[in-house]
Amino acid sequence: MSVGAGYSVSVEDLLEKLRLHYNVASFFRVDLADGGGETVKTLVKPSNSFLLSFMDMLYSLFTAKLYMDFAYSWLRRTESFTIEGRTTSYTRDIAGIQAWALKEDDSHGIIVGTGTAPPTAYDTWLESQVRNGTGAGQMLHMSCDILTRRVVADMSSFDVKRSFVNASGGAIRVSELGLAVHVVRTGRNKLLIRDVIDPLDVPDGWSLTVTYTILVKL
Amino acid sequence: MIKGYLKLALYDRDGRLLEERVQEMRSLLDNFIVLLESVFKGVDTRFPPPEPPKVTLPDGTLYQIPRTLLTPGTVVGWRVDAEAGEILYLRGEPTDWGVIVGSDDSPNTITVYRLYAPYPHGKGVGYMNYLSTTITPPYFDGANVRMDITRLVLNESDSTQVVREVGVMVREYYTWQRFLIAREALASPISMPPRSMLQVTITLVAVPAPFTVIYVSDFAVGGETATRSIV
Repeated sequence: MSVGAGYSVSVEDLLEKLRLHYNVASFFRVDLADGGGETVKTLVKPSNSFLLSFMDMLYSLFTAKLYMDFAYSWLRRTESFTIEGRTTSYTRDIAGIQAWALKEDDSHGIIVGTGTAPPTAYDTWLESQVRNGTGAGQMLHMSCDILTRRVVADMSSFDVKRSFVNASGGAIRVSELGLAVHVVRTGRNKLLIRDVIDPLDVPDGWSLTVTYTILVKL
Repeated sequence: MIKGYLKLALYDRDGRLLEERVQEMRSLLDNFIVLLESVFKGVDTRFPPPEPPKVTLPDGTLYQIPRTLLTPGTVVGWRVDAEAGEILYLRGEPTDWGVIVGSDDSPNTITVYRLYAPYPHGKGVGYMNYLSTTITPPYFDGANVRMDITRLVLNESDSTQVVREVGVMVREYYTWQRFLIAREALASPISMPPRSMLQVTITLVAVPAPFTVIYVSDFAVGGETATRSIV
C-alpha cells in the first residue's frame, strides 16, 4: 500500500523496519499543505495508542451487550425543522458506532488538538481539542470519510481520512491526533485512539490532512 | 497496536497438566476488518448508502452485514461468548461458533474464511465437547489493556485426537449468521489423549504509548526481553 507517489516512506516500510508483532495496528499519515494546496510535509508513523475504550467497544460487539456506553443498534428518529416559516419533517434510520462525520462536525471522526500529555490507556478525549471554526485557535473541519477497504497480500486495511483548514488568521500548532466515534445507541462520542506527535505548525491559510489506516496483517 | 497471544494448556482426565504453551497470535482476518468497517460506517438514511462491506461465510458465499436488526434500540452484536455446546444443542441452536479447534494446519491467508477441518461439537471420534466461551471485560493491568477469550475443549472419545488449528467464529445476534474472524495454525500440533481437556486462551493486548516493541526474534527463543522504543 503506497502512501503516495513521490514519498519514500510507506506503511509497509515501517512494518518491515519495526518487525512488530501485532494483531491489529493503526498508522497515521499527516499531510501539511500550503495555501496553494501543495503538500510541503508528510509524516507517516505507527499510531501509538489504542485506548481502553477501543477494547471496550470490541467487548460490547463480541458479547452483544451495552458496555461502557458502547452498543451496536439502530434508531428510527423523526426530526423537524422550520425554515422561512415552512416546517419540514422527515424520518431516518441511523445505526452504528460511526467514525465518519459531516463537515464542521467536530464531535467525532478524526480530531486534532494542541495537547502534549503522553497518551494513557484511560484517556477519554484529547487534552486540548482544536474546535471547528474560523476563530482564533480554530480550524475548519472537512468531512471525515471512511475509504474503501483494501486487501493486499497478507494485509487487510481501511482508511479514515479528514482535512482541516486553518482560516483563523494565525498559526496553530497541532500536537495531538485522535479518532473518535459516535455511538448511535447511547448518543455518546468516544475516543478510540489518541496520538501525540512532534508539534506541527499550521500557518494561516494552510491545511492539514490526517489519515488513519487500521489494518490486520498475518 | 493490539497484540495477540494464544495460550494452550492440556490436562489429562485427572486434571494434571500435561503440556502448556504460548505462541504469538497474528491471526485476525479480513472478515474482522470488514466487521469493523461496517460498524464504523453504520447507516444513516439521509445519505446514499455507502458501499456495503461483505464478509465471507464458511461456505464461501458473501454476506452483507445488516445494519438494522430487530427493533430500534435493541442492542445487537457479533457474539463470541458462546454457551456450552450441549446447551446450544438442546436449544436447537448452532454449536459451531465461539472458539473452535480443528485438525488442519494449512497456512493462513488474510482472506481465510473457515477452519479447514473443524471438530464439530460432540463426543465421539472426530468431535470435541465444547464448554462455554468466556470473555473478560477489558482491564488495565498496569502496563497494557487486556482482554481474554477462553474456552475449554474436551476430547470425550476413546481415541487420541490432534489439534492443529484454532479459530474464532462470531455469531450475529438474531440472524445467527456465523463467520470466522480469526484463525491460527499451531506451530506444532497438540495431541489430546482420550478424556483429556484443552484450555484455549486468546489474549488481546492493547499497548499504549510508548510502545514496548517486542521483536519476533525474541519470541523465537522463548523470551520476552522487550526493547522499549518510542516510535
